[in-house]
Amino acid sequence: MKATRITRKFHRGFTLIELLVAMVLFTIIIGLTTWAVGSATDTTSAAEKHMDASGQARAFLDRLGADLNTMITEGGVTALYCGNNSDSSGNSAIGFICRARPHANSDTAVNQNLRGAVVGYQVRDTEDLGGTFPLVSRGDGALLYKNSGTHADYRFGEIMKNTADDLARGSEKMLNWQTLGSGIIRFHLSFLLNDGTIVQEPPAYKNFGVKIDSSCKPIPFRAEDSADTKGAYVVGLIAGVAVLDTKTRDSAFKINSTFPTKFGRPEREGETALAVWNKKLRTLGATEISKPVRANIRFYERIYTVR
Amino acid sequence: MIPYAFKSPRNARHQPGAALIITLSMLMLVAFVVVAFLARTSREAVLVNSAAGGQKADILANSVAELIVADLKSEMRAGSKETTTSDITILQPSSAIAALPSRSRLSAASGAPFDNLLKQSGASDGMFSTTAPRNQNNVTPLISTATSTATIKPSFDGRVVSASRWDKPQLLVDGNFSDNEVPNWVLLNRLGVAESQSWNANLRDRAPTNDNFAIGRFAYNIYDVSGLLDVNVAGSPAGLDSAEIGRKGSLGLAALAEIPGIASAANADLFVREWRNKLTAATPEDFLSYHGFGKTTNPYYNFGLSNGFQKTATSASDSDNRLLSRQDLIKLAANGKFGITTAALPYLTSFSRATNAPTWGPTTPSGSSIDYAAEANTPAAANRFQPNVRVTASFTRADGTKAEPGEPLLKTRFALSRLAGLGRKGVETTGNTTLLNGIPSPASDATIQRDFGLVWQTDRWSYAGPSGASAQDSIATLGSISGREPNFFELLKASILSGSLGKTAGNSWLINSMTVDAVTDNQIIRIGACIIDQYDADSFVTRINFDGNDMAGVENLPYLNRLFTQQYRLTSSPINNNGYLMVELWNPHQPKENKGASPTEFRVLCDKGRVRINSGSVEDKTKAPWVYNYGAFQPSSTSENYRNTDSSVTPPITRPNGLKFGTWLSLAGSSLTFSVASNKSDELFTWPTLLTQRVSGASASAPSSSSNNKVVDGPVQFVGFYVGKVACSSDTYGNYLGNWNPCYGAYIENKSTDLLTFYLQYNDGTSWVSYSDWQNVSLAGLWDGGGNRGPGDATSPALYLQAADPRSTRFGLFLNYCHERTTDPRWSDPSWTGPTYQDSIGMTLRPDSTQKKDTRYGADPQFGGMPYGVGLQPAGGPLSSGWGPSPMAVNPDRVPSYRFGYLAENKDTLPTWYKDNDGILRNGDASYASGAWGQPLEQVSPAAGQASRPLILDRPFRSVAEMGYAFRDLPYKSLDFFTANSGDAALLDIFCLNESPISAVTAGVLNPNTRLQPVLKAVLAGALKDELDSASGLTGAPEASAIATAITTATATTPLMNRSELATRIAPVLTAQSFSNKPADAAIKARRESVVRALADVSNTRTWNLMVDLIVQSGRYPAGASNVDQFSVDGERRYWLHLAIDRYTGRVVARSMESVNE
Repeated sequence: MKATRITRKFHRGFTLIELLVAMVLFTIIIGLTTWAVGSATDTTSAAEKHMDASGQARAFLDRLGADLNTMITEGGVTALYCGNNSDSSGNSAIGFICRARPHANSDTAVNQNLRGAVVGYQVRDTEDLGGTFPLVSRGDGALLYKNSGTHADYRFGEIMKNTADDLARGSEKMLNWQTLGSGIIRFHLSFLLNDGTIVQEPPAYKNFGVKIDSSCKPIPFRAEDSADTKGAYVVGLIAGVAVLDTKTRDSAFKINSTFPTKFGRPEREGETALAVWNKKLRTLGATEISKPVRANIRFYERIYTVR
Repeated sequence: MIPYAFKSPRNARHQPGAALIITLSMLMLVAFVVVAFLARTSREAVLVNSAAGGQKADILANSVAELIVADLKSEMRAGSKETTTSDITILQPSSAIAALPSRSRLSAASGAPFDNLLKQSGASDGMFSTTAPRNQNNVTPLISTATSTATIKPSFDGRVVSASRWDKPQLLVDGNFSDNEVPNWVLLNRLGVAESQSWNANLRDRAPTNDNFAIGRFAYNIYDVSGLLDVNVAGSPAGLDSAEIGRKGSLGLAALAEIPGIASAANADLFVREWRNKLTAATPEDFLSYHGFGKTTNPYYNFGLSNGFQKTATSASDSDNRLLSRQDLIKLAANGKFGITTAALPYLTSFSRATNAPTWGPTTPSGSSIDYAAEANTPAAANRFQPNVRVTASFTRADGTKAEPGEPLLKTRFALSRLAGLGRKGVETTGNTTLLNGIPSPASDATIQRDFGLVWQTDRWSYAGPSGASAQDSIATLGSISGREPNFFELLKASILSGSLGKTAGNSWLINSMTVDAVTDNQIIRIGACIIDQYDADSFVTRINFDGNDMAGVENLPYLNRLFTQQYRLTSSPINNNGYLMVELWNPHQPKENKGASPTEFRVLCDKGRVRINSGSVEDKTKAPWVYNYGAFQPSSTSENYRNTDSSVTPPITRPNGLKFGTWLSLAGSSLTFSVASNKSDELFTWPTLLTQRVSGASASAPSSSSNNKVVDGPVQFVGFYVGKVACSSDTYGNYLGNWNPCYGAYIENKSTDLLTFYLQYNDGTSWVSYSDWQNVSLAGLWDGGGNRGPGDATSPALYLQAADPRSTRFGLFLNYCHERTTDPRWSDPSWTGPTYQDSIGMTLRPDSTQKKDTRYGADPQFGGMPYGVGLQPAGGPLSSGWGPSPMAVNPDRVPSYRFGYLAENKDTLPTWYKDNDGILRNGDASYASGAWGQPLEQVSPAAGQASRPLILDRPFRSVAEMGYAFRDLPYKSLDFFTANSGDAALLDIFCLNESPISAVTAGVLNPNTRLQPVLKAVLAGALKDELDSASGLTGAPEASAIATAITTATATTPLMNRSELATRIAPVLTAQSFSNKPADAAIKARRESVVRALADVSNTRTWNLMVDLIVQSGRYPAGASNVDQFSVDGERRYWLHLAIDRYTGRVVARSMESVNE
């Protein structure tokens, strides 16, 4: 009977201690579980952000590379560079003639008369992503042989003149723009010259007769096109981008929409965006750059040889 | 714990099925996740592999491009003699064949459709064969063979490159690739091109240590686009004057209508005016300016020309268009809206580049006493292999670049446009005519001395060389130049074969110019002056002081032609026998109005010399000689052909008193002055003309004749230097004025110690300038041969002195006599064309048949007309005994006479000819004249007019070959661009029209060795044969066609190695059939040279222009692969690699990688 009572008593409940122990254990387990889950979630989130950013960067740099791969460098001025004057944030802009096919063009007349395209890359304010963000965009315009409907038959100089206007003033005479990276907030070009030096602006071009926006400069790809005293000309482009994942982009711009300008730009010979931006990131204070941005901004760089 | 499966059935029966469901669900979930993961992984792997394969193919393509470039360079080395100085190597082709890339088996064997196809990857085709002449320097190609797998054979994964894909460049002429004509694959392993292109297991072995593992393959066709028309330059708009088109000088003046697939001028105009040259073809003047031929400074100049057409012309608001790639061109042709159709594509390229630098080196003509070829690399030699003349000390070139030791001294050809900096009265500072640190700049004293070695001194240039101001006595050879670029005259010296210069008569008979003429540098300076005078607009000669002598150029002006001693007696005073020295002037050039500044006032000045009239039989020796007032004449205002006496313009020279018979009369300072209307100085002396003045009281009415004779006049009397008179003693006085019978035995003589010097001068506004001279003339001999008679005496001809060519006294003065008989059938038969006894210089220069009967000297036809004079043949005297021209001419038959007119032909099949100092016989301007009787500068047929005469252009050159108009300072020899033995041909290669870009690379060139006759035809069609006849352009058919055939035949087995061979190898093979519209044109130098003029400036034999159609696949052989066909493709890239490689340095001077969209 005693045993029965005891058993009955045991089945009736737990002692306070038992409960306390159980609660402690339960708390620990819950805590550990929560921590583990949270940690895993953070890791996953970070990885996703990383993947997002690197994917954007790779897609952008691949696309730029594909266009540069077909860039025309013969026949005079075929490429324009617009430096930081065109954008207060210090971004670069470039426009060039290439053999790319313009996007979203199913017009039969265009297809029949298409000889190539002029392509531009630039950081532009984008409003259709739930906010206004300065994001890198790619613009293109068809180059045709003959007037056909609304499509102009541009002359060589006219192409560059209109392209310069589009790049410098945001007009759309020549280029139809499309956001290319939803989180690429900075774009910078450095130039590799024939003597191996890296500069931030291309050498002056010689004898380009077209009057273009002064913030844009023709890029010389040959010695005889260069007005540089040493005859330096461009043999490669070094593109740098600063990328935020989409989630961070949204929150970052809510906190401070001017943070992209804080990273500055390479100014001196030999510098590239990757090194300058990384260095700047370490020196920026909390008032200049928010924690999410500091944690999640990523910089990428690629070099392209001009064929 | 008891596993659930082992619990009792009673317990199991009471458990719900949820566990199983949960378990299965979990399994399904896991399976789904795994499948999704694998699917995603697989898809990403495919994407990554695809991207990676593409990237690998891209990387491989770049590598293969480098391999191909390396092999092309190796081919150059294999066919060259290498010379290295300061680590800079020059590749001198070992033969003409080796100067061009070799052709593959297919293109060599299959003929016309593959005219553009040079090389193809094939099992039997390496990049080049290492047999002679490409067997130098132990060089072998990296790509020496290919697999047996043609690209049409499916790969392991079924991919093929079909024949139609290889047709995409559309460079085969009237044909396509068949399946058995496509390239084969070449395997790449980890080391590069696989050594063995046959199957072996190593190709599939991925072991890291296996270098032979195949990582990709490639195939290629290499096209020669050097011989294609650059569609970004070639062709002109409608509306251009045919003469402007015909002067050529740029590919822009090629006739696109001659290209199949364009076919009409309207189509060419549609393309050029409506599309390509939208900006620069707005007006004809704009178009010409763009090509550097504008009459005014043009803003487009720098874009079109100084960049060698490598840029598109732009202005602030407009621009031309341009075809940016071959795909662009193909697309445009397919579009079909611009006059170009796809049939034209095999003849067109969008990429042509050439180093605008000379490659000429001398060859040794057979029989030459100078071995030019052996001396070509000798520093002291005058004529060098140009690329091997190196910089010895660094300096800054005119284009602003630094010349480093070891570089070729001549970076670019010398631009003749710099001649525009030489003004009539010093440096011309208007317009940009030279380069200063690479910037187009006006000429200055400094640039003129740098470019020409000239310094202006008061009224003439002085050749001072690179520094200082005093006249030099020599011109530097290229090998002696250090720390600077050679100047114009130094390059002339380097270009003209030294042994072709300095020829003289060999003695000083009748004139003592031999010492000056024997100096080769003197002749170089004079040739330079003549080139300058061709280029400048004015008609004032360029004078250059060199070693104390004035070397004058040649302008469209009269020259001293003949000197007569003349005596006569007046009817009213038959006892008085008067003596004169009479001067005849002649402008041997084609009549052409001098539109630039031109002299109007002339005089013949006797600068020194003492003369007298003498006779052993004269009675009155006390009569003092007196000097006749010299005459003056000028055209009236009513007729340019009409002379009028105007004695008021020149005060008479007073009679010197006190002279006695036998006293030598000094003529020093005496002159015969005349003036002509502005710009008419050329017309009055179209034919040899004695100075005359109107007889007092004669009618002033102009003659009714409207013949081509520009100096027809009414009654006139001759004027000359009066040398005194003697009285006849026993003459019957039966012959008076009109018969020109002097006293028997009377003669005019000069003092042997005070010889006569005459100058023909014009007034340049400030002083009298001498431009034609006879120095130290002796009259000895003029009294011989029957007395001094009138210039048309029927029985006893007059004697005279005459240079073989009035523009030069290089061979002295010839002693001649007139032989003009009224019975000569030529006087009465205007249509007579055959030779007769005693034809000479007069015959060679006579006008056409309608003008033989020239009565300009008055009523007596015996006095008029062209001098049917003959060279005086001494009766039995040795040729070298003092009778000119003696040693300089070969007269194997000596009968009937010396005919120095033959010198204009200078052929050893004629009685009179000479060899140059190197022992080579070089023909004269009439080299191709038909007939054996010496008609050098006579028109070949009456219809040809005076086209065979020399011509002064008086304008900037439109072709470097227009230097061929410049006098060479030898009788009837201009610079020779039309005979095989030319000593001047190198000028075509060493000079060019306009400045080069800093890179020295220009576009708009083509290889004259092209096999494509339509291309040559396009360049030739319309080429102006006669500068003065805008309708004389070569017809496309049959003329240009025939010439194109002649050129391709001439170059089929031995290609041209440089531009000079256009003169020595192309011009000589032209025949009457080449000019079938007017066969006689083949005999006229300027017309035959039209072919050279059309080709010279656009010809490129130096730079290989190639297009490599390259397809590269990355991938591998799968583990089970067992033959070479079973390649598994990961990625593929196709590029059209446009290459321009300098044959003489191996440097890639231009390169463009065109990504092919398929």
